[in-house]
Amino acid sequence: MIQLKLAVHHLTKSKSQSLPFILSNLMWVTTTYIFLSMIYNTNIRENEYGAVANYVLKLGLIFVILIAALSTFYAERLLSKQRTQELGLYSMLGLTKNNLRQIIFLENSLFYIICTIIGGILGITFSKLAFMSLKALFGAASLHQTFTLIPLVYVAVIFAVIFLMIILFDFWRLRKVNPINLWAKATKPEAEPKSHTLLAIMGMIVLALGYYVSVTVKPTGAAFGQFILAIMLVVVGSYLVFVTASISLLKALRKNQSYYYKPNHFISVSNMLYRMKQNGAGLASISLLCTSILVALIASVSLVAGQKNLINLWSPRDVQIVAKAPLSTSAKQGINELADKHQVTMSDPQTVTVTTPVMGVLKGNQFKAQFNTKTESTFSSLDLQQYNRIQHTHYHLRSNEILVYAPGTNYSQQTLNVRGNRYQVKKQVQSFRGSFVYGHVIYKPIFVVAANQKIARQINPQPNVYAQGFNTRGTKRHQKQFASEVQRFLKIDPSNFTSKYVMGDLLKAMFGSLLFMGILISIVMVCATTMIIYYKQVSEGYADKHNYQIMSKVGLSNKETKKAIRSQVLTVFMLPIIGAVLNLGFALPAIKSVLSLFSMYDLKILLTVSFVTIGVLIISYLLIYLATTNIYRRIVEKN
Amino acid sequence: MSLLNLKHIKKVFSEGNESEVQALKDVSFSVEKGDYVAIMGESGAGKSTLLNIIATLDQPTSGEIRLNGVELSHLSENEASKFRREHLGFVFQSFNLLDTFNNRDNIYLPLVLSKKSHQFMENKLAPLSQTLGIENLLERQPSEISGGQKQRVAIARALITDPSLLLADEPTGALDSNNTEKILSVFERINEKGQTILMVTHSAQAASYAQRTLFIKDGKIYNELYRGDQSRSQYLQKIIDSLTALESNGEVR
Ligand SMILES: Nc1ncnc2c1ncn2[C@@H]1O[C@H](COP(=O)(O)OP(=O)(O)OP(=O)(O)O)[C@@H](O)[C@H]1O
Ligand SMILES: [Mg+2]
Repeated sequence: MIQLKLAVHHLTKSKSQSLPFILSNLMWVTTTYIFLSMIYNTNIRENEYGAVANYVLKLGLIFVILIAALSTFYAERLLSKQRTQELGLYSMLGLTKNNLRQIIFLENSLFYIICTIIGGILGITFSKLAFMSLKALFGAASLHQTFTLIPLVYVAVIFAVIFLMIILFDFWRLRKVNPINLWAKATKPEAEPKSHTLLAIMGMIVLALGYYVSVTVKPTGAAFGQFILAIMLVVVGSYLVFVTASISLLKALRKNQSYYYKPNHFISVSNMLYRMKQNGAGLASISLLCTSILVALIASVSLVAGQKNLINLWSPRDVQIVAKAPLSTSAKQGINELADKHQVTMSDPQTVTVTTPVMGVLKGNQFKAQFNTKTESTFSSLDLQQYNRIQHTHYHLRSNEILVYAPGTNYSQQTLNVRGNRYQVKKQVQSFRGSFVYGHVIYKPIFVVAANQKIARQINPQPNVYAQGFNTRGTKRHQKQFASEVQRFLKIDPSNFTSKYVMGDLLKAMFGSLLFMGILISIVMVCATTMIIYYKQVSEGYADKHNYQIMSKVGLSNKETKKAIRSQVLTVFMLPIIGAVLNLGFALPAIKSVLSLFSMYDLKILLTVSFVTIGVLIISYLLIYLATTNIYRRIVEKN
Repeated sequence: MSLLNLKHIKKVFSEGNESEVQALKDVSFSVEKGDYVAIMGESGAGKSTLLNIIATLDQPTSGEIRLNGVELSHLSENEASKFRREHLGFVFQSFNLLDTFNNRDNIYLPLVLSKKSHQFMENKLAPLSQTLGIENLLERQPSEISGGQKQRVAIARALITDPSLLLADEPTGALDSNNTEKILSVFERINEKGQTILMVTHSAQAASYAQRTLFIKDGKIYNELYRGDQSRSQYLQKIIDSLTALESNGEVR
């Protein structure tokens, strides 16, 4: 079949164009596979926190697919510009439009087949390797990987759709041009890009909308759609802004004569402007990938850093039993005996009596009990006397006054409406040493302190629960054994029993695997970013080579060449990192609220981790920049 | 003292290799200020090599070359760049305009590299663009103008620095006869204004515009013709005769 031959011929002949395209696609297939395999081939979903992690992974997957689709689309457009000339020649030689369509179809199918097969293999190998090495590093023993075909099937389908869209788009463009145009189009050098004011404004609006959604979104079960919307808006907006705004910016720089007519700026501004149509998309991809690296690292590192707080949040004591009634004498007796048996001494016993927490939503100054996908908090009440005793404070409350303890919720209202009554908030207290998380749920606890039992009951008419805890001392192993035996002896289910030592191990494993995921994603994204930057530099190096040769004949010295290159590459490189930090700024509220699903409310940790991560990213980015600049320079200066 | 002085210039490519080429064997000549010199010779005779050495783009294997009293073979790479920028102008067969700039900025390029002010550049360009008839092309991209127009833009770029010497390597090689005529008359006019020109060409017609023609063969100067007060057609006939002699001699040898 002649069409197949021509397709293969073109693919192998223009290696310098098709190889980078295949490589970048391979990378996207591999990345997508890794995400899918983490979602479907691991036991991550098995517990409640894992389910949230899974949810975040799915958001990440959508993000990756979007960037993959957009950048593949873009890369193929550049590739097909090359191909246009060839197709023009064929059509002059007598091939019909239908034949040309077949060639386009075959060529893209070949790309698709090569990329999915090799990408799949790479993905499997990479995720296996990553799992093994990182497991050895972190000992995340609770995370297992099983091999199923589901991720492969999904990858194949996702990329089939992307390539199908590309093929249709190519067909559509083929329909618009006749053979003579086809021929003429490719021979003409790239015209200077036009400024698209309308697109630029649209891009900014889309981006602003995306930012708005991500700042306002609340991490409830219903928010998945909103998160996706935010991601889509930010991705599309970034591409539009980078492609259009960068052109406008460069044109403005060129208009400024005192800036433009300096040796460095003169060369770099014109070079960049000339290639901005391709450049913009690449920069947008780099910027978005950097954003994702920041988000993944910041989220997972903050979680691990905040891990200790989480246990303290669950229970104020080393061992805590939550029950509908105070422990019976025989139960206490049993516990004492177990303590003796395991050489554990008990101290600081504390019983906190609160009304059974109800699930619900705090909206404005109104608490509404409800249990559905919108649920955010658990709500319960206690009397002032108890609070003063535990906290050693001397608050006085009138019958319509309350204290509010709501970690992670910045409650700034003067009043609180609950069950038809309105209460004056005397103070939002910052500490409550009796606070615990009922049933280890992922909702934020809210405690309301009322003047007396009666009012507490009015606020929340549920029966009392008794959180009874004590600290233990002894060897670690003994304390653990003791805690497990107490639970077995009292026959209480794990959600109402907290032991810091048992829990600590569990959480360590749990967060270890989250950290592992964050690092894995970051590694994948770093690889992707580096690849993009590398190919950008290499391909531009070859494109600019001729220009630099001419300029050296006119009198551009080596030193000046170096300076011009530095100025050009630096501008190109600073834009994405600025974009990434800006994106991150708007993503932080969303990260914060997702982290609160993991009961991580500590803003200070989040900010510290963010700053450190941004610093690390900028440094590594600079290193990549230096390395690739050298490659670029070597290509440009080579004769 | 002459503007340009070459003494026993020799150039060997890939010396000591199997593929060793003696592009220039022993070339000596000098060019006075205000001269218009054409260099002719068969393909591979070493014309471009000679021009590149004068242009400081390449260094001779041995011999002396002085321009404006500066010994060119001792210049470092950065000094050579600066020297090129300040003393030399280039016109190439393939125009060598940059697609990334519009025509105006292409012409400004050497001045920008010399860090001249924008006002200075504008003042320089105004009379030049008039002489060359390119006032209306300045805002366009090089890809949007014809070959002859491109060459005129390239000439403007070469002349805007007021070079001591204008070097041209087959400046009309890619042009039709009509455009060739135009470019050659431009050269003639600027020469009359005092511009020294050194031009490599394959075309006897082009050489007939010059005051003097050097014939190169096998890396040596083989013959030299002066126009004197001959008419152009007389001079052209002489050049053609010389070329014929050059070729037949080649066959005899
Ligand atoms: N960089 C190089 N390395 C090796 N040999 C070279 C190099 N440049 C030129 N030569 C050789 O030197 C000789 C002279 O080349 P040159 O380019 O000067 O010829 P020319 O007279 O300009 O020819 P043409 O009229 O075809 O342009 C040729 O034999 C050529 O092959
Ligand atoms: Mg030559």
